[in-house]
Amino acid sequence: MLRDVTSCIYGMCEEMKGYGLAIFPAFLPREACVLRLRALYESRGFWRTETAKFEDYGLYLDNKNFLGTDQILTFMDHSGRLLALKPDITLSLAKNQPAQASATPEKLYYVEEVVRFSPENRAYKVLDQIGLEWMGREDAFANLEVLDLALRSLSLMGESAMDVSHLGFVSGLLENTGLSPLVERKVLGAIHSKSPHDVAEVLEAEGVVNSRREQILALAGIHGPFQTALQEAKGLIRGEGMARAYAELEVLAKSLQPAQHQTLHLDFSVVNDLDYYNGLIFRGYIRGIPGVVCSGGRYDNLMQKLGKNCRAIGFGIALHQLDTFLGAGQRQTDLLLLYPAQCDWSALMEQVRELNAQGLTVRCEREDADITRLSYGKLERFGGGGNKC
Amino acid sequence: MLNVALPKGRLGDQVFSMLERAGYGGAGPVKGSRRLVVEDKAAGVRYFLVKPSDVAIYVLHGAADVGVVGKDILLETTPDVYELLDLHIGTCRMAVAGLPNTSFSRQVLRVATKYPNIAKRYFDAQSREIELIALNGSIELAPLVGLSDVIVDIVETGSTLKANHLKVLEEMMPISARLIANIASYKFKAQAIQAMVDALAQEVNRRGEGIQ
Repeated sequence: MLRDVTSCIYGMCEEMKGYGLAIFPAFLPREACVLRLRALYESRGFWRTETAKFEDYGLYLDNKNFLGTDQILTFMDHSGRLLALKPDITLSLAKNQPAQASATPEKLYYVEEVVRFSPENRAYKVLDQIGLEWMGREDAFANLEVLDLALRSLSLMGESAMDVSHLGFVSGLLENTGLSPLVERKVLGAIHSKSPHDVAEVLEAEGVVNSRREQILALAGIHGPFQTALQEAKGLIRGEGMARAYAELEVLAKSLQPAQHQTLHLDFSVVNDLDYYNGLIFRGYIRGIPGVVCSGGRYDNLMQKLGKNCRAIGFGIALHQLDTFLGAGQRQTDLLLLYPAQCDWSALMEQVRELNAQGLTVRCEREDADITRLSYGKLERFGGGGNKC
Repeated sequence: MLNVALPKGRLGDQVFSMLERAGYGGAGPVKGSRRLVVEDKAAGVRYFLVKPSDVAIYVLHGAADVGVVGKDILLETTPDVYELLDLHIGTCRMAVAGLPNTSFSRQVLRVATKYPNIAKRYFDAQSREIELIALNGSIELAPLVGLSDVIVDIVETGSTLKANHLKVLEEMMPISARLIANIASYKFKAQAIQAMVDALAQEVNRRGEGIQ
């Protein structure tokens, strides 16, 4: 039954794609987006999972760098155990995987709230998130399947752009240059900020010269349409690790649709913690939203750290930004129906039901109500008389 | 239309002059103007004049696509923005300063500063325990009245330090004005932003050659 409903919704979405979010005028952008994305993910055999609201604090303490924060809201449960309000869903899903990946991958998606500290607001915020995870044995199709879903997810939300990188390529190049871990972090930070001047400054301070310097600066400068930038990157390949990474990116370039290439850029400024992430990583954007909307990648290293012999790739979408920046629009009722202080209530109710059955949204207000704040298409008085506004 | 956040004051005037020479300046006078928004439709640019410490916030939140801000503010607040160009203006340096006879042998060094994050990172890297005293202005006063042992602040010519009988004790890092961009704006307005970067880069090179 659920499959019939989601197929129906997905069919409607496909048919009316050109109308964008207006397809569900009564829904907030976030709500409409969740319905669309659920239909998309289920059409590919990913099923919804739900996790408990609280998690053992120790999981986050041991994996602070994965979260990128140590600001976690905690409390003591009745047995004295320290629990946390979840700042992340992926860690919980990863933790619950068996030690050995089964022959069938886990294909999951979630729609959950996470609790994160906002330094600007100096407060914890509850944020809506939808995410998708693929966890299983080594499978060459996984990267393409998940990246394709990430691209389609963005396209359902508006005009989009996606940056893709490969940490195997980046770490392979930096390994060949023999930088210390501290200097590597500084260089990656400068590459992340697209600051070639800062990259040059760090390398000069460390005495990195000649071809090593040129390779790193060249890596920092590669960002552009996927296929074109990939050709540039080819010239930097040194060693097996980089060759493997390049081959993975080449498979994606050949397998994605031409329309997807319009929105896809190769950009090595997309970096993440090398202790947890490896391989393909990506960040997606929607026109009109100032920050990253979609963020994901391969995190085989995290799975290993958790003692799981399992590969994993996934992404999360920050839903809380959609309502703020894409706007719900002004809600307007089709018809405002004014009624007197005393009238035939059952007749009034019957008229409302009839109007709803005609497909109209109806708001009833007493005649003496202040209607100046209300937005409506037409005004009628119960019992007759009305005017268009 | 490209939205550009410029810092009010001397730095903003300098940057606007550079932008004018680079072909982005048909918006009318910015210097001395009380207007907060100045537009040049022909060049496709709209300037916002904001408090220097707020430029990065406007850019981070996408209210401005690009902006000009000091490296000191970027290092202190670490906003997730692209730092596309060093403009080599507003040059100064971040330094540890204090009275000439300051002893660093105290167990816990008291450090007064407007830049608590920069100061903490600097002394953490030295495994140096400090007590931070966050101030908003007239930082040089702190060691003079015994509030702190040293200060961490930007130093330009050093004349303010000298006038208050202080000196630079440790050089930390060079500071200058940077052109920053909102990371999402960069995806959708890449051409316009890169054109501005290239034009300003040429101006920077011309200035460099002129100075030499």
